[in-house]
Amino acid sequence: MKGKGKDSGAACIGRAKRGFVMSAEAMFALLFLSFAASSLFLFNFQRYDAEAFYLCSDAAIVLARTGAFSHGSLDDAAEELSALSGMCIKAQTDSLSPRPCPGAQAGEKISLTIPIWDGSQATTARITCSRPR
Amino acid sequence: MESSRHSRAFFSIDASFAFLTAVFIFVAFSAALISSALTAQSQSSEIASENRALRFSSYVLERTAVSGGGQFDGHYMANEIDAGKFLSFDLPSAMGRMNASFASIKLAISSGGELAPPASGSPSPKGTYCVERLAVFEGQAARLEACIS
Repeated sequence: MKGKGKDSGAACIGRAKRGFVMSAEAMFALLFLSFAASSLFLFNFQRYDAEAFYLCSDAAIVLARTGAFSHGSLDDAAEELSALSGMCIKAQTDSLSPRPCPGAQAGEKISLTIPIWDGSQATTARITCSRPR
Repeated sequence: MESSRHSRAFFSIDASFAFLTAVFIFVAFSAALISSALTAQSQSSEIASENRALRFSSYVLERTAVSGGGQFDGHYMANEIDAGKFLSFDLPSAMGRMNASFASIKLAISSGGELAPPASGSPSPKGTYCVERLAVFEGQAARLEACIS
């Protein structure tokens, strides 16, 4: 029995010398380890940020109530709200495209589409909020 | 001589390595289980605190809102804060509703200036959770900060 073990060990070393760098077990272990490591980033998506959603819907109400859509001061109003909330808040209508947020890194984004009155007709606006990471 | 010494040994080297590996794996899995349980507990407590603070901020926004007139009589205007109602907001009563030991509210107006009725209660050693909301105050954008513990 001992002799057989010695023989198989010697055979293994021999095979390794002939080009088998890893055993099947080591390969599977490495494979599972790489699966586990690649799933680690998924934990970021479990971050719960309900406050950001509330802030974004508040921003939509505030923009509508301060008349920013009809006064043509949409960018300034969005910038003011961004400064107040610490989020990047952008508002876009059919006729106005948003100014990019300076220094905003793309974190989790929330988008809302709301009905608005732009002074002459009913249309829609899109409010996009992102919190810098 | 060598082979007789080996035959008298209680553990072989392989067995002791297997034993060590088993102990190591057991300890590692236990540590992973404990840490994941602690993480889940802290996450759920954070979520609960955030939800509670958000509920409190919504209550403040509702109770301090401007009342609608005309066709909106009896309604309140969402996210529009009335200065008088805000300054006279009954924090102790809100604390009673929320079963809280401490509550404070503050309104920062975009043009500068701040409104803050005196805080009520004393902060809990578990910590105070604050949330921010956006509102309209006298036609201007404002940030409401509501804290509760």
